[in-house]
Amino acid sequence: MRIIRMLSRKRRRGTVSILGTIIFIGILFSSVIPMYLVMRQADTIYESKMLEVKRLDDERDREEIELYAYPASITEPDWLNLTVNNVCELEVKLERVWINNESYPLSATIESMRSVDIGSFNIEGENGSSYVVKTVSSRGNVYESETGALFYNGGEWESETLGFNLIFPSRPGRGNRQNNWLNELRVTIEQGGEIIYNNATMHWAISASEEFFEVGSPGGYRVVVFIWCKPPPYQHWEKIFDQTLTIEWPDGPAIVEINFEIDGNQLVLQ
Amino acid sequence: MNPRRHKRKGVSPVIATVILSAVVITIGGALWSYTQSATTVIANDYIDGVMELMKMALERFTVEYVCNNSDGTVLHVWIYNYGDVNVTADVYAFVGNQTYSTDFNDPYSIPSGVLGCANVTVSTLNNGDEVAIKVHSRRQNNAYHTYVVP
Repeated sequence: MRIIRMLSRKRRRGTVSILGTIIFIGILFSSVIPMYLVMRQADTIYESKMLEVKRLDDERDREEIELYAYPASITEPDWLNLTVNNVCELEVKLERVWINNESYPLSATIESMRSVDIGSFNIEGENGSSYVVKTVSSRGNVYESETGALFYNGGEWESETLGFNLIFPSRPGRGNRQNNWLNELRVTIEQGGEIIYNNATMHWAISASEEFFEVGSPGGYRVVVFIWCKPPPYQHWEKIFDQTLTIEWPDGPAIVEINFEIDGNQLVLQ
Repeated sequence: MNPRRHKRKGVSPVIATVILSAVVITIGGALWSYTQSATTVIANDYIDGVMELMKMALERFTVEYVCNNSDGTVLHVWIYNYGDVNVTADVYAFVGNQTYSTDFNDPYSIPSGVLGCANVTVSTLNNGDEVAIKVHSRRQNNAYHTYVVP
């Protein structure tokens, strides 16, 4: 009899503990764990947004374009033409153009390494005025015209800068060369027999090189490029480009981009 | 032995168990309810904090253009919000040792993707004056620009 009573008491002894455990587990699963999961979710969203914004910042840093502003003609005061060269590996979307204090909405997308005329803008130019042209990309970068301010004086346009930007492609390295070229170049630029640059030296990097040569006025210029060559039979200078190039400003950009490519033992225009 | 007394012998442990269970369920239920409310509040606060931090980090704006009116008494500061969140900012202009700003009680708001113009009233600006401009958002981000009066 006594044994039976003890057994039945023992059977009831765990009821409260079981209830307590159930409540504890209930709290754990219905409150604490969901809270933890929600917090983890918020952290995950935050981290993914941070990654996204870091990528956008990186793209913003790498974005690069060249803006060229030039009048429709040398005596036409009312219209400015804009050309944009995208010189980076990203697609660039332009949002606005600023010409002095006036903004003009724009929606132009320029693919990587492309050049696009983004249109003519009516400015109603006045004698004695200067015009600063800027454009803004969707990534928040502001670019000013490479040619600086434009001046309209005495019924004619003037630019701050005129010149050629010579862009050489990547140079074949050792083991891949089809010629005797080394890495030193000499550039001569002349106009009508007058030498503007005489054997200006520049280094041609393996990765590509670029050099700007400023000139005084628009027109045709003879551009001659020599390269230093290794033997045989001895080290010597060899002419690899000789052509007349024209700055058509104001009917074209004030800075002319000359992109070369290698064709055997010569440089040719792209 | 009294047979009546013998019959009621198992009643009191049962009642004790029922009472103890009731107490455990009541206290446990209250604790459960409290924990649920507390964790909900904590989770919501945490999410709000993370979202606010995220907005702070996502804020992107730049001073796109600056000009002044003809008599040089007002600076027009064009701010482009190229980020994903709306920006509320104060604009400061430092000329010499003077500081000017927009109204602190009425900060300038720029929705996402929009170009806005904030006007700062200054003492008369002269040609060649250099003005340092600082746009300070209410989320503590800054954008700077230097403007030379043409």
